[in-house]
Amino acid sequence: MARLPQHLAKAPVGRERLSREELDRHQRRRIIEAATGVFAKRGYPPSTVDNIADAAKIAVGSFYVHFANKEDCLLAAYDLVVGEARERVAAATAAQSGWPRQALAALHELLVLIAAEPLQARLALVEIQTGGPVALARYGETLDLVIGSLAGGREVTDLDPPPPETQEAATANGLAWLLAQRILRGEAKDVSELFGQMAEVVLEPYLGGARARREIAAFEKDLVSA
Amino acid sequence: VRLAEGPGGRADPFAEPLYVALIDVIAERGYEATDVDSVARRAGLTRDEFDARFSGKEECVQKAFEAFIEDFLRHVQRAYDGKPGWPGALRAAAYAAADWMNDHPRTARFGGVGVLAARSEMIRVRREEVFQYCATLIDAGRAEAADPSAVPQAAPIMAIGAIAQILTQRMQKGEELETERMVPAMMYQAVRPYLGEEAARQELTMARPDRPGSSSGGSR
Repeated sequence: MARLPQHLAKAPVGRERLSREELDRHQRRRIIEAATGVFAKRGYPPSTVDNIADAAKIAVGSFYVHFANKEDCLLAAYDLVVGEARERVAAATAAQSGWPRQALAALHELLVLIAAEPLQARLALVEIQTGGPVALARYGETLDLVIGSLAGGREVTDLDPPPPETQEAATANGLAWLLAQRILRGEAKDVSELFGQMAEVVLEPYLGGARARREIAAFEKDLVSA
Repeated sequence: VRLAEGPGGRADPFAEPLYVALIDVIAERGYEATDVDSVARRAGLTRDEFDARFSGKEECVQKAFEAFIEDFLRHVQRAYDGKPGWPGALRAAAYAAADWMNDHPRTARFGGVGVLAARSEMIRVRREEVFQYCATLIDAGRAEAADPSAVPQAAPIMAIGAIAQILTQRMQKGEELETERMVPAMMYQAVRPYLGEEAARQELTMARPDRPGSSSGGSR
């Protein structure tokens, strides 16, 4: 039988040749996504590598090609979730000018993300805190970023005296706690309802109550018209 | 303001040798590496004696946790009830909580972070309820606010959550808790939404109330 020339031969559907590197990267990503679901649904402490391998539909041996252990996988999943969230928040704040608007945009985007991705939110705000000292340090680094962003409020405040030096840590930790609590209760999809209250708690220490409420009202109005 | 009764609490958790042994072993080895045989041995009991009281490690952890919640909250509530008026009652309760944690550092770490590694979702929920209870003591300030409806609903949870998060991180890192030093800043955050900046500022420099007699159980 005559054979078609090579360039006319039909390639098998979905079987484009991927490099070994691409296959590895794809599999690693698949494991991380499966692990995120496992940790969020079962809780990190009782989750096992077997659970993750089952969810990712891979052999346990393949898991260890990519990760040293369960904790290593948790850290990779956390970094991925937080990295993507930071990109989204940065994009949302880039369109705003001035600290109050940027803080509101960041908070709003964060709540939208939590509502849209409750499993990722549970991993990043709840389960990471049960992952041991390294995981906790990683979580602390994220909180430090939030604390640094909140400190921008000191540049726009005209309150005298300014808030005490513990203000940013209190706000960041308070927000994290409140969100973690809602997620634990299975209410992640409803966190957007908290925007007004949380926004006031973020802005008020620097702007005072009246100015904070004006900023929030203007931001919400713009959101509606957008 | 009361926390709902949990299962299995005891009047004096420090009198139960298995609870004390459990907390010691977890503090030394971590949750995962703690096994029933070691706990029984540390308590001077046999494995059979352990098995006669608990179905396994998880049940022992859960009941120990409930017992210590009860002891901790009894001290906090007594301090709160013993001081008329808000924020004085809240301040007394905050120092009582700080003192209890200073007096029982291992137990505080067990309740704060040790139980997070447990497989029981119920323990996590109960742990949250303790902080929720503390938030209700803060939110009693709503009645003192000039305009109660203007105080954000999230204010008490934010105030207690900040402390809870910071304590959790210090416990996980094995750092000193310095709970007493945290009280003025916590009081500032707790009082400000209800009574305003001026009253909150006073909390930052206010001397702590006299300390009542030490809580039960010695230093664990």
